[in-house]
Amino acid sequence: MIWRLFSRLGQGFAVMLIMSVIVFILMGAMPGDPIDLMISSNPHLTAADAVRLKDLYGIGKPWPIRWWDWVGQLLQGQLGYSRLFAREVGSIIIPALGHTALLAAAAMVLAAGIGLPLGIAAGAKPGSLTDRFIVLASYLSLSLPTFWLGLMLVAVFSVWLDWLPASGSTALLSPFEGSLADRLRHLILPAATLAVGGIGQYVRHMRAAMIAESRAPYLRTARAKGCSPLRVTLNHHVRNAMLPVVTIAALEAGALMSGALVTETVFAWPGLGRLSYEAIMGNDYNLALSALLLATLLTVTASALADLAYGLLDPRTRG
Amino acid sequence: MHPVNALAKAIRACAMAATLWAVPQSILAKETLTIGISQFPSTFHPAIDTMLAKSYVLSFVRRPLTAYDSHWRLVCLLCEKLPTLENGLAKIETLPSGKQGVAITVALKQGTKWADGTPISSADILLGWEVGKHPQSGVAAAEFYRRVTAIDVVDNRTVTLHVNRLSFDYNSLGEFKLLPAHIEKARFEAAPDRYHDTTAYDRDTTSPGLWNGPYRIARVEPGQYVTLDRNPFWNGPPPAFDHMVIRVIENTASLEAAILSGGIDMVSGELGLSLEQALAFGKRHPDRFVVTATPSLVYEHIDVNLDNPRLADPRVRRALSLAIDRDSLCRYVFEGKQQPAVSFVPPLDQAYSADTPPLIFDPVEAGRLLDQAGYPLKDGVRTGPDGQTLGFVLMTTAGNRSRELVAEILQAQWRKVGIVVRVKLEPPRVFFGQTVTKRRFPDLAMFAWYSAPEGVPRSVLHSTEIPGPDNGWAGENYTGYKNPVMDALLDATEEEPDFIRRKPLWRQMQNLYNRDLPAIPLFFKSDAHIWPRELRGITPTGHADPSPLWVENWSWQK
Repeated sequence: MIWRLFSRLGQGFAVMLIMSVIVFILMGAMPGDPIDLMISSNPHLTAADAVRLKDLYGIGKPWPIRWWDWVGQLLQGQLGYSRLFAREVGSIIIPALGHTALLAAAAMVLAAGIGLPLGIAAGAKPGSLTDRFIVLASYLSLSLPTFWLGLMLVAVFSVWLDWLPASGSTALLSPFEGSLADRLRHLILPAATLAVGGIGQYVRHMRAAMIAESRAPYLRTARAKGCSPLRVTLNHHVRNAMLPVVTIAALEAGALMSGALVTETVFAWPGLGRLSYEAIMGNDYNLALSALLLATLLTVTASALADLAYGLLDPRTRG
Repeated sequence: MHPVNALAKAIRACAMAATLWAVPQSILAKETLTIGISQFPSTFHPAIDTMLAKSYVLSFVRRPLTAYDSHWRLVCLLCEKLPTLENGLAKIETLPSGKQGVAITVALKQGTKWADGTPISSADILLGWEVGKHPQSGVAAAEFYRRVTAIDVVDNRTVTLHVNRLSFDYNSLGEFKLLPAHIEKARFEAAPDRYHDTTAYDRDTTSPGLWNGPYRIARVEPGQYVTLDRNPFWNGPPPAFDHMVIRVIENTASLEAAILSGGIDMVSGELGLSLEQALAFGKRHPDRFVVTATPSLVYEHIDVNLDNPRLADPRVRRALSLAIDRDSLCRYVFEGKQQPAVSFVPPLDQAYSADTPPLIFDPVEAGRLLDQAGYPLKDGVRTGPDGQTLGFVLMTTAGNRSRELVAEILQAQWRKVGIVVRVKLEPPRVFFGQTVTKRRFPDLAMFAWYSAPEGVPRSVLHSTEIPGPDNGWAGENYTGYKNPVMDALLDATEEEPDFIRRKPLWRQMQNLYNRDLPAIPLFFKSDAHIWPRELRGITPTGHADPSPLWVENWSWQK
């Protein structure tokens, strides 16, 4: 088990190193640097200004040199300085990570809490009316565009009913600012938007796993031993069918941490996805690299945790 | 508590509640105004970087020496009196080289203080200059600072700037940023080359001593919001709101939802919805919001690549212009709220010459010119002597719906005179980061210029401003326009301080521009502001000095 953990960590490190090089090359290949963009918006900038600023910010240097500088900086425990927000990268990324973690956790709980029972119900009796209805609903949830769904929820719950806030993560300058209730009110709509697609995923995977396990001999044995159908389903059938779902849930968690860009944009939620996008578009190397590597780290960690959990849940995979 | 006392207390409470209920809402002041904008400033330093979001936020918390008001007149904000040659505060001086320079005496308003109570002084002007002209400080537009050769301190709040060049806008001092010496001097002097990273404007943004406007920055959450509190040392009329919140919502649909749900009170015209979005919004909610369209200095036009042999022929450029029906385009797309352009100078600018020959819509004349240029009409298409179809690529930004619509209409209008145009859209980052700035558009590029009132278009029309590898791709003469007469006019206009003598130069420039057509004028944009009916006193400016520079005039009335 320990060896497996170290092996996964080594793989994760290699992935992150490769990712940092890829990001550097891709960002360098993007047209226009910050000074080019500044020139196009400010007629007062002269040619001398452009040359001076590029030199000052080290923009003219080739990417391997900049990458090496960045690695050196990282080894000293510094993530660097964000040009886009004029702050230490760490002071921007950590709060954003917190917001994304909260949103992702809420969405996962919601998606798993709804999707898994529905998947179990559908998979327990495949072909039944319940199964057909759940499958149809799961298709619907998978095909709803996040952007549209978010705006619809805002239109109904914020504009029309005036129950929930339309954007942000807290009510600024109000007596309730930062309270648990205030945070929950702001969390509901983005979490629900993000969860809807996840519900469909969980239903589909859980149902498929249930059907795949339904012909397993241990279920026949359990029934032959006189276990009640409910006990057979919950204690034997679901427990074994959960194994692939755990992997999917772990990977889903990693994706949610970095891929909630659309939801975060619609609800002006100050998370990691939106931050990464802004950093890439703004050519903020330090911030973009740190945000993307953090997302990679989270995905790699989630995947490693899934492996470990798999080993714990299924003794056959322990080797 | 005795029951009688309890009853008396209850009655008093009820009476108070009834009184409050009866008080007109107008008396109950609104404490916080929340504004939605679509971008977050990349820095809060007034001189480092140039960004619309920054100038919008800073206009609540800083006052420049001078600014252009909503009538596009130059006014003093932090200075006592606008220095002019007429009032003697500006004096022409001869430089050792024999050229003319100008000495400008500026006195700061009596009693002006930074928000920590420190008086604003000549030392702050000196520091602004030191930082501005230092090559390593990170200040973006340093040209103005470098033109100042010396500063004489007259007294604690008066200085004389010696500028090595006499230009017509010699007394426009908005670009000269004062910096609080009691906070920034030590940081700058410690390491000028690291100053862009160590400045308190970004390291300690909420330090009151950095701000001198009606408000000061109280909280900053990068990428999310900025909150402002009243500046207790502001010596002008007190602003109406105790706090301001400026929230960043990039997505315009979310911005609309936020204003409808009460999450924000207003949308900034400088950085909010596009005109057509705002007009549609105003129609849906006429009872709750005021939607205004303020003519601005933003000039939408098509840059023509003059290195292209076909477009180098002035008859082809003129035909392209004559084939455009600007009036119906503005009426159809913008409900007539944007003004068709008849030259590069907006009609509201004092530099505008009404007698400039108009750019009319005349497809017949366009056809005649194309025939003359050797492109006769065959099967509805213009064909050149080489047998090739007369066709161009019109490039513009993707994601801007109105611009895409304008491109489609232009395509159709040109098609009617036989010119085949293919529209190519690019993400703004690619378009402005490479295609336009590196002159990589083969034929036509549609975008906008943003200028100041009576802004001399040197960077877009002077032959020395053509971007290329030799000058680090600086300059905005993307068309490659070269005309010695225009160069001379630009130089002369910049150096002529007397408006009466400058006006004919402007007229000649406009005539020459309309004759040569290095770019094809389309229209002048309008800024779309949305605010609630209760909010009064906003005066949109339509130029680079944003409306919150006069935030003390805003009020809330039911």
